[in-house]
Amino acid sequence: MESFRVSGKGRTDRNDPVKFTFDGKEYKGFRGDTLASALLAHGVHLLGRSFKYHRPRGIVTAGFEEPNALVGTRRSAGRYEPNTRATIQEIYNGLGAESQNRFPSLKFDIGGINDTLSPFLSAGFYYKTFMWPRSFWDKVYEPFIRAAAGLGKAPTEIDPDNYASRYLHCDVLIVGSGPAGLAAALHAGRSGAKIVVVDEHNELGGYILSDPAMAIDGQVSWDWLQAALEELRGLENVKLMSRTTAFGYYHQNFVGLCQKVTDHLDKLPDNAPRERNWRVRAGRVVLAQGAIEKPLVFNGNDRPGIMLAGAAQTYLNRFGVKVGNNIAVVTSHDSAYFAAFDLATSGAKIVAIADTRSNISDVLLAKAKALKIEVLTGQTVCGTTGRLRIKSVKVAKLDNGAANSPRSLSCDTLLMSGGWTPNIHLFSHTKGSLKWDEQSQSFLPDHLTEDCCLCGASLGHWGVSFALESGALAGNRAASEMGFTTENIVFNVENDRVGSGESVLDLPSNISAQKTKSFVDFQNDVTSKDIRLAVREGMRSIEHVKRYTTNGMATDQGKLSNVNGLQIAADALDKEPPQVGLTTFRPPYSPTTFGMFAGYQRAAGFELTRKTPIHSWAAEQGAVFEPVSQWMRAWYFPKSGEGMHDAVKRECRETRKSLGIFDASTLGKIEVVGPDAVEFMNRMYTNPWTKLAPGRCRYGLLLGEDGFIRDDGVIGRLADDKFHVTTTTGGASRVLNMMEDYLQTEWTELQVWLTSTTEQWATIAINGPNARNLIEPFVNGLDVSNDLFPHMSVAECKFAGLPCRLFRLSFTGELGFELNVPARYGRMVWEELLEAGKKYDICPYGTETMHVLRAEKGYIIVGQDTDGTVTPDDAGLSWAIGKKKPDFVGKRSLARPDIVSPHRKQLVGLLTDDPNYVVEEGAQIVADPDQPTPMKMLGHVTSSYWSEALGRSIALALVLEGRDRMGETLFIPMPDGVIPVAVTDSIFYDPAGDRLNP
Amino acid sequence: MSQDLHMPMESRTVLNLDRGATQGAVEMELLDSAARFNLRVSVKHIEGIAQCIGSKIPLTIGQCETSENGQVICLGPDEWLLLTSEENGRNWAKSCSSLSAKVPHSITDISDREVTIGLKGTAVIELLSVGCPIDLEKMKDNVSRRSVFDGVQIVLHRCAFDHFRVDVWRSFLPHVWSLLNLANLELAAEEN
Repeated sequence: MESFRVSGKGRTDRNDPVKFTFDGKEYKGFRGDTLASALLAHGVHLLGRSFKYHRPRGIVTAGFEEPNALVGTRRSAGRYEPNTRATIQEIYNGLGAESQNRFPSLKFDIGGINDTLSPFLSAGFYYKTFMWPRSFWDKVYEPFIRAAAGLGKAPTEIDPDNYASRYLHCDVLIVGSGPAGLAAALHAGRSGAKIVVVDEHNELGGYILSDPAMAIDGQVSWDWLQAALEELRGLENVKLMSRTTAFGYYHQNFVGLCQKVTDHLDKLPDNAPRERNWRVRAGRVVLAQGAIEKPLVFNGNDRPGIMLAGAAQTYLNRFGVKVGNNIAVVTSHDSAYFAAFDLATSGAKIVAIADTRSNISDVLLAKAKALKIEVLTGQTVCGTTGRLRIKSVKVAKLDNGAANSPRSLSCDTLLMSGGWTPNIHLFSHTKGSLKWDEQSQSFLPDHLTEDCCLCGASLGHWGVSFALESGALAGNRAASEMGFTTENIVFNVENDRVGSGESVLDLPSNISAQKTKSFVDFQNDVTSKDIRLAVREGMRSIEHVKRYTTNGMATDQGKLSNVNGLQIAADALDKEPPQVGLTTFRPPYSPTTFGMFAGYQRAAGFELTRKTPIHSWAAEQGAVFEPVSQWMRAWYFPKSGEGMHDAVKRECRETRKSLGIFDASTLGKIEVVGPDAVEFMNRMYTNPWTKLAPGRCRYGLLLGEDGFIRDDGVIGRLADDKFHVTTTTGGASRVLNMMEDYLQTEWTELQVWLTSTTEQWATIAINGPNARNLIEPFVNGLDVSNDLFPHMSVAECKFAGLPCRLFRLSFTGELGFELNVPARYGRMVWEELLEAGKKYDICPYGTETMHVLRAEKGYIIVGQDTDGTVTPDDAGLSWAIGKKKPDFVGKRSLARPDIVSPHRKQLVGLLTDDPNYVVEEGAQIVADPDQPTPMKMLGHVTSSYWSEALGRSIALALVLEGRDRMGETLFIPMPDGVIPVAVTDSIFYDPAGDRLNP
Repeated sequence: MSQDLHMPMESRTVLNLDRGATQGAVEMELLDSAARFNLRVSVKHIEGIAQCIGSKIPLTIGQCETSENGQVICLGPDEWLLLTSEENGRNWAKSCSSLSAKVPHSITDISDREVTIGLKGTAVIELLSVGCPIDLEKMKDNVSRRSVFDGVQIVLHRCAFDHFRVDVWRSFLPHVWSLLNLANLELAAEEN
């Protein structure tokens, strides 16, 4: 039974009833209701328990700033959300809501014991209590605090919803669609500028929705609103977005919006995302975010049934819900009178209005008198009663700071208003400076850092007339700055409820301050007593007070509590508020889902994964893959029943015995072309390139300016002015960027151009004694015999009728070729080679076998055997340095004393005493395992494998002065024992290189 | 995303339909291959190249010159993208190679490096705005831009107000394609 619904009031659709549940009980509301308004219509105020003291709490606001009415909502499996603000969540058929932070029930909560214990749970309680004994922290204190922390339960199921994102560009972005935002939109919109208007509520209109008694330009305000919205909807250059929160204002007018797409719908449409993140780049931003009403801080100000006066006005006028029958009002601002008047004319009894001020305008007093409302002036609030709902409020005349002869007013609802705080959150995100305004006792925007302007109540001036006027100015200014011609419209407002008020501190009571509970931060249960205590205990800055008391640190980010907290702290310190400071607001403006931030980056779209043209074949064969930078590479190809080790052993054996085939398409490739190509290569790489003839290739080593190895690869000279550079898989884009950087900033005189061809070519490596036998029949226009196409040759030819760049090189120590064919033909050529290779028992091998085969030959892998601190000499690659070259990147560093020092770590081979023991990569090496800890580490193992060719384990390691230790025994201490190893040369297999030229 | 995208280009148009992409608001298709070259040359030597390829070479970044031989798109101060038929491509490469000494330049075949997605429909800008941060409405017809889509480098070409081409590196295609496809269904849901 909706006993608090007022007929003829509100904007909800009475023809569209909606059913939902709260704590298992079914309720009915109407389309357009929020969960809060629908519950209030049934007289339900109690919605949850507070965080620390588990005090019963009710609805305080009608908007995004709600600190108390946070509930868990569930639509269906996986769609559970904790901490949903009941004041924002629209009801839909099937919505299930439940209260939080209570056990066993909302009305009886065992955690409420904390409230009784509250004298012991003062500010800084955790800091003081859990200090000692130290040993209790891990096992007792931290688990206890963690269990007690948090409001609501984190969802445990995987979120089945999609979250979307889009970029949006506009001339003017207007945040807020109250009178100021609408006036800005009408002005900018009529100018033809592309504008976007966003509002976090389901309906546009802001304050106008809560004040139908006002008239604008002779029209009832709601008619005016409808006409204005219709005009804007009719303009092609205007985009209106409701249910959309501007959550963050970033550099250069980049504003993040979160649009709730489906949270209000009965049925979820197919393929629609739950939320969409709009990344807006706006020419100008108009901030018309209005103001947030400030609660009064008095003893017992947190009971269910106590709410902000403005919220009550909204529930009545916008939702047609009267928040109580016997309503008392305490205020320090005129605006509460308007709420009281509206409620009185809608059938509620206003018990009294208790005003902290002594002088109140005659107009208000006369109106109150006409409505038979008693007005008490110069009042304070001593306390309230009522456990699950307020029953009475005790007010008293304030005389020289003392509360005299208190009087108890019975009521079921208490409205409060401490005035209004301009909403400057987004402005604060821009790091624009604020100034303290003495008159309004609030921070107002001062210096702008972005192309934005503020209008309406966020400037600290009240009234719809001012909002329209300042909005018009803002809209015109923004549009004209963007190059549009604008025209000024003057608005005429009747019944404008401008109002004024005074700012008050925590209200004195007739009982001892130590026994009061005057809440500043409802959600975090911070009282004025806590703030004063923090100051007494030495906190001087608001930043310290905030952290000590947790004031303003809840999910509402201090929207209601910051200014009250600051003023009380300033009073305790006997300073002006700006001297105590204001904490910075940071994005997001209001709680925002992780889903929205993750957007499309989930499941298959979580991370970009690159696959080679031959990947599909490997997948069909059941290859196991490993990620290598962005790529997925075939790791090994297990045959049925084979584990990794058996597969790798077989691949190694068959490649060395006859023939192996390997997909090397991920190698980076860069085409270096131009008359100065050879000079560029000389400067870039350590090696000399001048004398490398076209048709030949060479191992190239790339250093950073610091002289440490950055990348390597085989580089072929295709013509006097053309090189085919290969890089490591992970280094491809980094190397190209580094080259471009030098070219564009240091060597602009060089006529040479770089083009990435990594993906132009599919690269297939053929290795083994039968490599030539396999490819020879496919090659056209080239003699691949040993004499005419020796080791380290390159040529352009036809392969299977396709254009091909053929390299003769080897990363295995066997006779080897690498053929590059246009990528689209990669798989086709691969399969033809496999077919033709059957007679040689061709064996596809993966990256693990490639690693083993190269390690047997002592070939390094940059990034595995080097770590950014390894010089060419450390790696045994001094031979790759062109000694006569005047310069190359890193040359100067190679002469630094620490680089030429003989006491460096050098790459050596290690052989374990036990040939079957494969040491762990990364293991540390010491000279004497019996030395006391911490031991002196000589180096570490960089690569370690089982070598099938040698029938034993092998390892590469960086060891201090390693080359002077040949034959020495060193030790690797491991958890299961100490492993003795002998230091050897890093080439384990075929050191003479006979197998390269069979 | 299926592995099939690595199959020869010719079979892809068929695959496309299987993936339900046409159910979305915007028509999406993988276009057949063309010959593409990355041309790098100093502006002072541009005439020599223009003669070889028989086309004017535009000098404003983003500008596109279309002739019977193909398209020449200016992507940077010394960088152009050449699009033509495979046969023409071979001829261009050949005739440019004879220039080398007098006209220093680089002309590199990138036909297989990239694939092109065609997008057609009135919601095409919304679709691209899912991953592309530039102001697409300000792009004029027959203009190109190097940009990114969801962090992946692309070259965009606006063929008409409702028609874009997107060049994307081969291995990035599955990522770009699947996001476009997802967003396309999203757009269709919005229209309904």
